[in-house]
Amino acid sequence: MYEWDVFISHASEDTNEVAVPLANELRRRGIRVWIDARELEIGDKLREKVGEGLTRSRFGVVVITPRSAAKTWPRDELNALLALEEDGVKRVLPVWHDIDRAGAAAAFPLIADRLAGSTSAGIEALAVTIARIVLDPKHSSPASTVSSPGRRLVAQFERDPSGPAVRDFLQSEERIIRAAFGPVDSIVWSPAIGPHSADLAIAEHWVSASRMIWSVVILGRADSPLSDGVTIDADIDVLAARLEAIRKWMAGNLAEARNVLDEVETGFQGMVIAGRRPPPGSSVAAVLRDYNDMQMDVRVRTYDWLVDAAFKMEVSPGGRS
Amino acid sequence: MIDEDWLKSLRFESLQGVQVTGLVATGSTHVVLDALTPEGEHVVLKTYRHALGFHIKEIPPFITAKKEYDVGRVNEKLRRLIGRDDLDDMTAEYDRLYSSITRLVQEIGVPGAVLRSAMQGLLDDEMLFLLKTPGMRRRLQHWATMREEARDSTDLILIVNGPNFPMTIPRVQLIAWARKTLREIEELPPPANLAPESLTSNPLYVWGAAVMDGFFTDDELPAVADYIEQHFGRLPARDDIFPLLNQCTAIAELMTFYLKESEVARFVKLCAACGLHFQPRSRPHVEDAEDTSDDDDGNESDASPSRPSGTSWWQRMRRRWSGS
Repeated sequence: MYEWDVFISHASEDTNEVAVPLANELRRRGIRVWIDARELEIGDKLREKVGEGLTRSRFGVVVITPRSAAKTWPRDELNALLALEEDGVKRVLPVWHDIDRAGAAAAFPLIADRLAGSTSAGIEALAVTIARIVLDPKHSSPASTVSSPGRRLVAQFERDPSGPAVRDFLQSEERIIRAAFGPVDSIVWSPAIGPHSADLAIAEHWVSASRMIWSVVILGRADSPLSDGVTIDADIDVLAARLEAIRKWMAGNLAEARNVLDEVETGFQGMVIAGRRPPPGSSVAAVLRDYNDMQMDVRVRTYDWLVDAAFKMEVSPGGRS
Repeated sequence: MIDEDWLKSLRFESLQGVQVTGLVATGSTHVVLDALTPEGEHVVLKTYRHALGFHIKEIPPFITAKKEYDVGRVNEKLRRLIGRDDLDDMTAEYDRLYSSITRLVQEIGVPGAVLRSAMQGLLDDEMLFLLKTPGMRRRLQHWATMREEARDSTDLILIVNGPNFPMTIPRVQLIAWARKTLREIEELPPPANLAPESLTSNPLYVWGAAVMDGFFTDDELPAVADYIEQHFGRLPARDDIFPLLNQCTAIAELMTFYLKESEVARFVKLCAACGLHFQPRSRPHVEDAEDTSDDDDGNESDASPSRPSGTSWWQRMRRRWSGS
C-alpha cells in the first residue's frame, strides 16, 4: 500500500522551474505527490526521508535535465527506484527537460528508452500525461484505488464545479475545512445573515481576548478562470462584493447577526474560494495577487488551498482530521 | 481583521536595522514579527496592532528603515475604507481617542462626560459628536449584544477597550453598562452642524488616519490632496462643507485635549492641504496652572484618561469661570 502516488526526483537547481510546477499540476489533478521541496521539514534526515519517499510512492518521476545529469544525488535516487522495479512492476517515469535524447541517454543509459514525457509542450501537458498513467486503475496507485477526501474533492470539481455543489460536498467532508482553517471552534453552514447568505462561516475562540474570530466564506465555481490575465473575473468581484454587503448589513444589525454567528464582529475575515491555482509567475497569478493586495478584510483563495489541506491531512496521520 | 497571509509574507528592514522575516503571531492588541539582527541573532518585534498599515496591507512607516509604500496605491486603498465604521479600530490615534472617551464614559457616565467636556473648555457639541459617531456606536454595540452567559470561568470577567485604556469588568455588568450607555447617547440632542453619522464618509477622517499613522511626507500631501479632490470634489466648494469642516475641527480638538503627544498636527496639515484651514485650540500647559496640587502624571493607562497631561481640569475650569 503506497502513501503517495508520485515521488519526484530532481536536482535542486530544477526545483522551481520543473519540480514544483509539475508537483502543483499533479496535485490539482488529485494526485498525491512527494517532493523534497515541499515535504522535507527541519530535523528530517535527508537520506531517510528520501528513502521513505521512494518506498512509499507508487511511481517515481525522474526529472532529467543537464543539471541532474551532472548530479550524484538524483542518480542515487534513480538507482533506488530502479531497484524497486525488480518485481517487474513499472515504477520509474523519466521526464525530460532542456536536454535532448542523446544527452539523456548518455547520462542515464538505463532509462534512455523509457521516456514518459517531456516539458517541451509545457508542464501542464506533461502533468496530463503522467496523471493518465497514475490514475489508470490497473496501476493500483493510491489515487486510483483509495477514495480519499482530497481525491474525492478533485473528483467533485470534475463532476460539478458549482459553488453550491462543492459546498454540499465540503459539508459532508467537514474535516477538510478543519484541516485548512486550523483551530476551529465553530462551523456554521449556509448561514443566512439578514437578507444575505454565505456558504459557511468558521470561528476560532481567542480565549485571551474573549473574542470569536469569524471567517465568512463564499464558494465560487471551481472552474472559474479567476482572471483573463488583465483584470479579475467579474464573478469573483461579485462574490467579494457580497461579503462587503454582509459587512455593511451587519454594522447596522449586529444583534441579529449574532443570533446566527455567535459574537461575530463587523471586522470579520471574508473569504472567496474559487478556481484552481494559477501557475506561479503567470499573468493570472499576478492579477489575483494584486486583487488580494487591494482588498480589505477579504481574501480570494483557490480551491487548491483546500486540496492541499486534504492531502496533507491524509499524509500526516498525526495532523488534524 | 489583519490578513495573516500577508503578514507571513513580510520581508523588510526595520528601524532598528533588523531584518523582519515573517510573522510569529497576531493577538488582540499586538502583532509579533520574527526578525534577524545584523549579527544573525533571532529576535521578535512586538508592535501595536492598531496600525492602519497592517489593515491595508502596507508596512506601517513607523517600523521601516525606508519608505515601502506607494502613494497612489495607498490612496486607492484608503478610498476603499470610506464608509467603514471600524476605522477607529484600525488606527492608533483614533483608537486611543475612542478608547479614552469610552473609559471616561464608563467612569463618570454619559452626562458626566458631556459636562466635563464643557468644563474643560471644549464645546458640548464635540463630545456629543464623538459619542454619536458610528465608531462609538459600533464599540458599544459590540458589548451590548454580547451573549450574557460566559463560555467558561475565564469568560466571566473581561478586560476590554484595548491596551491604552483597559477596562476590567464582569461580562454581565459590561453588557448592561453598554446597553444603558447606548440608550443615553441616543437620548442626547444631536450636535449642530456636525452630522456625526456621516463621519466615516468624510475623506479627511479616512486620510487623516493614514497621515497620523505615518503615511505621506509633507512633500506628498499635494498629491494626496489632488487625489481627494479628484474623487470627492473640491472640499471647500462642497455643499456639506460645514459638517466636513466641523467634523475635522472636532476630531482635532478632541485629540488635542484627550491624547498625550497626539499626531494631530499632521491631521491639521492634511486638512489645510485640502483647503480646510483651522487650528485646534491648544491644550493648556502646566505652567498656566494656578494650583499644582492636583497634578497629572500623564500616563495614559492611569485611571484618569480624560485629563490631559500636565494640567488639571479643575484648574482650567476655574480659569474659565474667572474669565481668564
